[in-house]
Amino acid sequence: MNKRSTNCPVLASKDMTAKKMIDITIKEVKNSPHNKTNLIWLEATGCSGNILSLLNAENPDVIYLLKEIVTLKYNNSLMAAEGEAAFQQFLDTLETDFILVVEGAIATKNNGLYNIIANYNGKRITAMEAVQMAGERAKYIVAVGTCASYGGISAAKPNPSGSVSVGQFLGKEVIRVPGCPSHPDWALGTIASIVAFGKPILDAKNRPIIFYGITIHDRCPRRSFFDKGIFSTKLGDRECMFKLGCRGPVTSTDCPIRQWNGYVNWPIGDNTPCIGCAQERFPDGMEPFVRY
Amino acid sequence: MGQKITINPLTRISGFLEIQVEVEKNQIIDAKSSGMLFRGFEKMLKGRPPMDAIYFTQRICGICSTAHSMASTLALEDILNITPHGNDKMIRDFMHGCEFIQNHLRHFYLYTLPDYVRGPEIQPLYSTTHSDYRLSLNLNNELSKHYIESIEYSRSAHQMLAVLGGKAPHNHGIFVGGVSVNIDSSKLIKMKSILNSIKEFVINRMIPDVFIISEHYQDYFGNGEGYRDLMSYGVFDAYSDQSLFYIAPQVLINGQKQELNPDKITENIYRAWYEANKVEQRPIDPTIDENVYKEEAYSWIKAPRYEGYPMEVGPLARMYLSGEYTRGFSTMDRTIARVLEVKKIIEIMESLLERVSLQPTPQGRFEFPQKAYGKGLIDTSRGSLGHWVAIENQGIQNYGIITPSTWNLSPGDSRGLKGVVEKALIGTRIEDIKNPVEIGRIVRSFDPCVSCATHVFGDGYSPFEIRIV
Amino acid sequence: MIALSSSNPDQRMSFENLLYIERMRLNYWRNYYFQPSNRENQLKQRAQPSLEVLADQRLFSIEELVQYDGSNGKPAYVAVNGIIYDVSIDATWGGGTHFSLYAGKSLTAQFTKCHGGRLDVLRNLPQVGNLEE
Repeated sequence: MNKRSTNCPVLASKDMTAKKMIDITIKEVKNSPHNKTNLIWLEATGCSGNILSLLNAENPDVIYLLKEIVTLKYNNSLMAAEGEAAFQQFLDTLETDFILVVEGAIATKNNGLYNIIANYNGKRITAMEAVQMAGERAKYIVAVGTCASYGGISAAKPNPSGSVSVGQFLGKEVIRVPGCPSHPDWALGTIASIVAFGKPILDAKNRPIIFYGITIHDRCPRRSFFDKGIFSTKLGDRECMFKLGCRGPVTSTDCPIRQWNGYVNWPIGDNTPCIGCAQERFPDGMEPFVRY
Repeated sequence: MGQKITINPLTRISGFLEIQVEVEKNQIIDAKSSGMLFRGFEKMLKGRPPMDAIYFTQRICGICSTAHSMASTLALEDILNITPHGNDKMIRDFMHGCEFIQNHLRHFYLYTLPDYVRGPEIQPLYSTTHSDYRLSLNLNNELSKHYIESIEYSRSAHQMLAVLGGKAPHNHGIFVGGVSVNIDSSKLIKMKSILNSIKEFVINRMIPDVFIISEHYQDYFGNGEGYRDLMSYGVFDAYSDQSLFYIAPQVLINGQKQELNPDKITENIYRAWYEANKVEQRPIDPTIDENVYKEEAYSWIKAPRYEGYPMEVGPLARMYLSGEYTRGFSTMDRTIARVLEVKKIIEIMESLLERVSLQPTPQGRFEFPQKAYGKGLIDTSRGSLGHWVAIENQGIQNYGIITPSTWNLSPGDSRGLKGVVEKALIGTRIEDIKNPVEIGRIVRSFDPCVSCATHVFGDGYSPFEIRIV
Repeated sequence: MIALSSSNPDQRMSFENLLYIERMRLNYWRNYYFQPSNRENQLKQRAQPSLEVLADQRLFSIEELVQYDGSNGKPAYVAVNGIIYDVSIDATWGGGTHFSLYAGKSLTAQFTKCHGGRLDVLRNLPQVGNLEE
């Protein structure tokens, strides 16, 4: 920009104004209409349970998320477009600022051919490639669900699809929101937190501390039974589920407090032991789920 | 030589499906349905403690996890030779019903509706690619509003499930021996009230909506017909009381109704990415190995056949075989049958609530024999689901799963018989080659769930190729 | 102690609770032998000499150890470096299993690999005997 050697502020501002306006306009145009961030929710090698769980969100619900918090640009389950037009939306979003949410692990066997998510211009696009493309450019990467966070059940022995977690695949920092499925509050809360305040405070395992970090055991309503040694002997009993194989002591989520589906119930409240579905070693390390 | 159209991703389904059709003179002359996901659950289950299968197989699919826990539990109870207490059976069926409702509501509004109705102005719920929207602006906005409302009701269906099962998806509560919840009056009244509100929505909104659509899209009564061979493993069938009974296991082949014989079920792996020593596998045959570079194969989904016939399963099969809806076998019939089924299931669930008694569950402790074999067959939201278990040394030796989507989305087999959805597509007239909306509409009427269809396992036998469409 | 003189009531409570649990554990191992709903066994145990006396002397063979796998109300014992520990009420051993390991076995190799041989992990576990060579 040429700086005129003058002391007149009016002239100087004339130099600045046009460029500033252009800069601002370009920025506005690039961002989505209501200044909402773009979001890609990529389903990879998994059961798509997390987007289902997200649909169970209440206050805020998924419509609030889509209207007020983010602009969802791509999701296999919800988007109206199909085929190449749908994948085009994915590619277009890569050019903008966006948050990448991945659910499901990443299948790597045979170059990812165990999970193909699109056919674009005659070429099959594997989940591996899609995650690579988006992971390189995303502002934030959130791994929702235990499969995306740690490999989960997609990577259970003998791991026929060669599935790995998103973090391991990308080799980058990934915000983990594990759970099988992830509670809608955790996923939605993390996304909302990112949009409003940037990266949330994470614990040592990259999970948002507002939802993770204290074991179920430490907040369990049945803890007094454990402390006094009064144990259930079968499902349906009201005492501590420890002797049946409860994984509450090694799982750090807020299930006892938050509970599920409109906060009505949770697995231990349903008289079954916790199976550690949000734990790093789920499912192999959490088995047997029930042992008499 | 026709023009090839490939649709991948076929969105608004559960999982990853690719559909490839060949079109000549605006008519589909060939179709291929390809499952695009494989995780290998059958292989994973080998060696694990039998009871773990219940929670494990649930995670094959997010939208139909209750179904898998039911089938798995039934298979294990078959091995142990136990039947749960009548009250527990009713509670289990109720939980299963909750999932039916949730699935059908979501499938009709979230998956199917955007094909026929311009969705609410929220990205990415509306499409601007095609323009075959025939509803008037007013009607369109009405149905669009109902789309948004349906989210609350499908959520409530899962809430009902969670009251009895701890959480949804991937609920607890259903287990060998019955259930784990101790039902009391507070839970009962909660479910009654939620069920009532869902019923009002279904009767006042959902059913009129599907008929509005069928009125404006009458040409869809003339396409999407499969083989007209239907099958059901039976569901809500353990009752002699008519108000609780839905459908018993049966098949319809060439217009003849027959009793179901599960031994006639095989899986053909010719067109699927698996290798085995036999091309025709029985469900409990040893695992097959994958081979994604196999020449003639095009899917991860295997081709199940009943006595060699490709069978259609799902709400249409159930409503037709039980006599509730016998109008036809087309795309629109399938969609209508699904919506009408919700009402039927709600009525059954209301009756179950009347009869369930408020008592703690008589659960027990179970020990598995060293070597045994069992199967659990049940019809669920998408159709017939079967789990076959073989146990050795008290651990799972073989686990075979054939899901409804495996039946519906199967590829061709070694005899050249096309799968059900492929047959349904062949012969369809495509109005606009650039926007082949007919394909998506027909395929979605089957309610595909590819995560289910390709878990493949197989000991030995069959390589399943599942095409995830 | 620092904990008991903390000005934060929550912190005080939580440390007091921990102390209470340790005291309970001590009592548990000194006097009782819990089995779910099995009072007769409990009384029988009281008639026998106290466990403390037996602990250092009891030798387990591998076959005997297999019995104590934590299933069906049995205690859960695990051998590490030849010493047998009782993990029956250790919170991370739900149902007698721990990250896909089963009780009733010698788990020295797994312990060394996973916990890097850090013996302080075992410090609070009651010792009930030694493994036969």
